[in-house]
Amino acid sequence: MRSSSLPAIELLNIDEIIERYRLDITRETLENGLKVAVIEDHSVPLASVNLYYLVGSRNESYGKTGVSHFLEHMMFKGTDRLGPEEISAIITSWGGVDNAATGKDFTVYWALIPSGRLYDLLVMEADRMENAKFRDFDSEKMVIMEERRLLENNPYGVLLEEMDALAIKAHPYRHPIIGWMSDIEHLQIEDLLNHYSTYYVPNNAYLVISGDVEPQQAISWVRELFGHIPKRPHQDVITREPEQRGERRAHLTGKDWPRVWAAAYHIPELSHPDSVPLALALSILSDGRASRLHTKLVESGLATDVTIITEKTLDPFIATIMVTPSMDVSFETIDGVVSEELQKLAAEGPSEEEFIRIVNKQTTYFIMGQETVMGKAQTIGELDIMLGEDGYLTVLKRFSEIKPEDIKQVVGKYLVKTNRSVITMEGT
Amino acid sequence: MKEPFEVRRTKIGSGMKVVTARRDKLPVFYAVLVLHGGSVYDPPGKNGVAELVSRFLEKDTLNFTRREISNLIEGLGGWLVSDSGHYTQQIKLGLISRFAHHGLSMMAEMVMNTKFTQEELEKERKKLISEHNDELTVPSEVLSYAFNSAIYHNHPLGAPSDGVVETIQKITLDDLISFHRNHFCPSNAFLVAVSDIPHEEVVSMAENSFGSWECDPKPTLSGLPKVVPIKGKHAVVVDMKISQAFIALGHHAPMRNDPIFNRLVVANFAIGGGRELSRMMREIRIKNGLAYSAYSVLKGGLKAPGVFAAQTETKAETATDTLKLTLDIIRDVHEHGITEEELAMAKSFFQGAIPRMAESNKQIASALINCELYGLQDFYWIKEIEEIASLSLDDVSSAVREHIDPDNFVMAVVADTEKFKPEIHGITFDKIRVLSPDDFKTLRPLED
Repeated sequence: MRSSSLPAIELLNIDEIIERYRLDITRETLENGLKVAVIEDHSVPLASVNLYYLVGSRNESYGKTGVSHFLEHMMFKGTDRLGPEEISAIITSWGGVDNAATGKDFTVYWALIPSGRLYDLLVMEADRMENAKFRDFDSEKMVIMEERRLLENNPYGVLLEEMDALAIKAHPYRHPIIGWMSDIEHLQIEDLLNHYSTYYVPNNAYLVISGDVEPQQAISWVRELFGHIPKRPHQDVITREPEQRGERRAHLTGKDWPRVWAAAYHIPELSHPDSVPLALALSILSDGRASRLHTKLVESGLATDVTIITEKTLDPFIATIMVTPSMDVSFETIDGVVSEELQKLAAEGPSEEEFIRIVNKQTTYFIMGQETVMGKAQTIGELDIMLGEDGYLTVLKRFSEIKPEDIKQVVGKYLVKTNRSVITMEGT
Repeated sequence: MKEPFEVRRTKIGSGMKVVTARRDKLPVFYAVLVLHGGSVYDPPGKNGVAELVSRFLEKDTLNFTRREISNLIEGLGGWLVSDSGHYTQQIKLGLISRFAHHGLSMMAEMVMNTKFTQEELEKERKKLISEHNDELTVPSEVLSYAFNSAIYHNHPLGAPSDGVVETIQKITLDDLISFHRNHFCPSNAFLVAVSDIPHEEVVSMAENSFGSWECDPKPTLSGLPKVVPIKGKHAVVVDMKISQAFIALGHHAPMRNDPIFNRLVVANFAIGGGRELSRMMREIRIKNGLAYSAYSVLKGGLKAPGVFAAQTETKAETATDTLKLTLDIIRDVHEHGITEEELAMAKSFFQGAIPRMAESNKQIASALINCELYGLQDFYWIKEIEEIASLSLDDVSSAVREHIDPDNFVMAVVADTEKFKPEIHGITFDKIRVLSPDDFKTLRPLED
C-alpha cells in the first residue's frame, strides 16, 4: 500500500469562499408585501423565475388534505386571458420549460426561459396570481387520483407516507402532500377558491429571478405587473408537534413488496441552531462511500442501499434512515448496526478526517450549485424562506463556526431510540 | 453560428484521447473517462460482467484501499463514481478545479490498478441479486424489463445492463478479469473534461495520470448479433396486483447519426415529446383525465437500432381506452403527418432551447461524449436545430411514414390481469404473453 503518498486534506477556507462567491442579489419588497430577489448572471441568455407561495401541506387540515397540491394543478387551467394549459404551452413554444411543485411549506411555480421573454412570463404569473380560472375541475381531479395511485403502487412511496403518519401525531406534516384519496375525492371547487384567495396573495409570496437580466428593469416590471394586487391577511400554522415519549413501531406488508427497514427521528426546523450540526451529522452517516452507514452496511454486504431522507422545513420534521437489507440479513441485524453507529458518533463525535470531509463537501456543493441560473434561484428562494434574507450565507457561516463537539452533542440529543419511529416492510 | 466555447482534442502518449471544453465561469472540474464496451459485450449467458467490473473500480485497488480513495476525493469536496451501461463504462469525476490533478490520479488508479478478489465478487453478486429482486417489486421497473425484452428480444440490449439473476449467478472471477483485460485499454478509452483549466494543462495532468497505461493485446470488440425486426403486434402483460396499468408501446428507431433522425425528433415532439403541446398529453391527460403522465421518447441507435416508445399509466379499468387513444395518435401521425402548427411549434421550441442544452459542465461533457460515441459534429445541438429549422411538412411526413409504425409494434403492460385484458377494439395481437415479475430473473423470459 502507498497510502503515505496521498496528500493531507485541509479545511477549505469558507470566509474566502463567501467573499469570492457571494451572489449579486438585488432585493425589493413592494408595498403590497411581495418580496422580490434578482440574481444577475449574464453567462447564458436564460432567466429562471421561481414564484413561491408560502402554502403547502403544512396549512391543511383533516378532510382537506391535498388541497394545496390540487390548487397547484388548477393554476395551469388559465385565466380570463389564457386557456387551460396555455401558460405551459406558451413557455414550451419559447423553448423554455416550466412546472410547479407543492411541498410541505411552500408551492413553487418555476420556469427556465430565454431571458428575452422575462416580461411576457411575468405578465402571465401576475395574471394567474389574481385571475386564475379553475376550469376542467373533474378531469383534473381524475389526473390527481392517478398521481395518487402512482404513489400507492410504489412500496417505497407507501413506506414514507406511513412514516410521516406514524412519527408525527399533531402537526399537519403528518398528512401526505398529495392528500389522502378520500379527501381528494371529496374536495370541491369552493375549497380551492378559498385556499387560493387566502394564500395566493402578494404578502404570502416570494419572487426570485435569476439570470441574464438587468435587476432594476426586472424589479420595475414586477412593480408594474404585481404592484396593484392587494394584500390580504392569512393565519399561520399554530400546531406544534409534542415531544415523543418513546419508540413507535409499525410493520407493513404487501404483495411482492421489498424488505425495507426504516427509522425516523424528530429533528428541529432549519432555523434552529442545532439544524446545521445535525445536517453535518447525517452527512457523516450516509453521504458518500466514505460515510459510516455506507461502510458498515453496504460495503460489508449487509445491505444493498442506505439513505437518509429529510427536508429543510419551517417547523420541526423528521429524518428517516432507510435501509434495504441484503437477502438473508434480518431487520434486527440492521437495527443493531445502525444503533451502534449512532451511539458511537454520540459518544466519540466525528474524526478530524470526517469533519473536514463533510464541511468541504457542503462548501463545494454551494459552489457547484452556482453553475446554473435555476440552481441559484432555488438556493436563494428556499433558504431565504426558511432563514430570512441571505439564508445561504447564514448556512455557510454556520459551517465555519461548528466544532466536532457540536455534532457529537446533537447526535446524542436527537438520534436516540426514544425519539424514533421504526417501520419494517416486507412482501407477502 | 457563434460557438460558445472551444473544444480541443489531443491523443496522449498511451494512445488515450483527451477532449476538453474550457469555460471560465466557475472553478469546477467535471471529467468523464469513457471506455467503449458495456454490457452488450458481456460473455454469452454471463450478463452482468460489465456491471460487476464497474463496481470493482470503486473498491480497493492494488495500491490504495477504497476508504483512502473516498477520503481523498470526498475530503476535497468532490465525487468519483463508476457507472456501466449497455455500450460504455464511465468513470465520472467532479471537484473544485485546483484539485483536478488529485481526481485524475485516483481515476487512473481505479482503472489501471483494479483489484479483483473472490470475496468481493461474492459480496457484490449477493448485493446485485438483492437489488434485482427489489426492482422487480416496483411496477415502473418491471415495465422497463418487459418492454426492453419485448423490443430487443434475445439481443443483448433486451437484458438489463446489469444482468439478470440467472446470469449473475454464473459469473466467475475469471470473467471479470478477462473483461477488464480486454476493454480497459487507453486505445479503447477517451477522457472528456469541462472546466476553467486550459487544454494543455488538462492534457499534461492526463499524461501524468494515464501516460503509463498499457495493455496487451489491444482490445477487439466482437461484433453484435442483428436485432430481429418487429413484424406484427406483440403484447407482453406482466401480472402484478396493483391498481394501475403501466404501459409502454413502441418499436425500433433509426440510428442516432442517421440523417433522418431529426425529422423524427420533430414528429416525436408532436406525438408525446412536446409536453402540453403534444397530442398524447392533450388527449390522454388534459382532455380525458386518464393519466398523470403521457409522453413519448425517441432514442437513436448506436450499434443497433434505437427505440421509439409511448408511455403512460392509468387505472386498470381505463387502460384499454388509453391504449386505443395512444395508438390512434400514432396511426394518425403515420398516415397524415403532423400539422403546420405542430411543425412551427417544434421549430420554435428547439430554437429557444439552445441555451439550456449546454449550461452546466455536466451537460457539455455529456454532449461531447455523444460526439465521440455517435460521430456527431461538435456543437451538434446547435447545428441540428439549424437543420430542424429548415424542415418542411413533407420532410417530416415522409420520415414518419417509414419510421413510425402503428401496425408493427410491441406493447408491454404491467397490471393486475384480473382487471386488465389486452383487448383493444380494432386491434388483433399476433402474440400475447402473460408473465410474472419473477420471469425476468431469467435471461430469455419471452422464449417459448
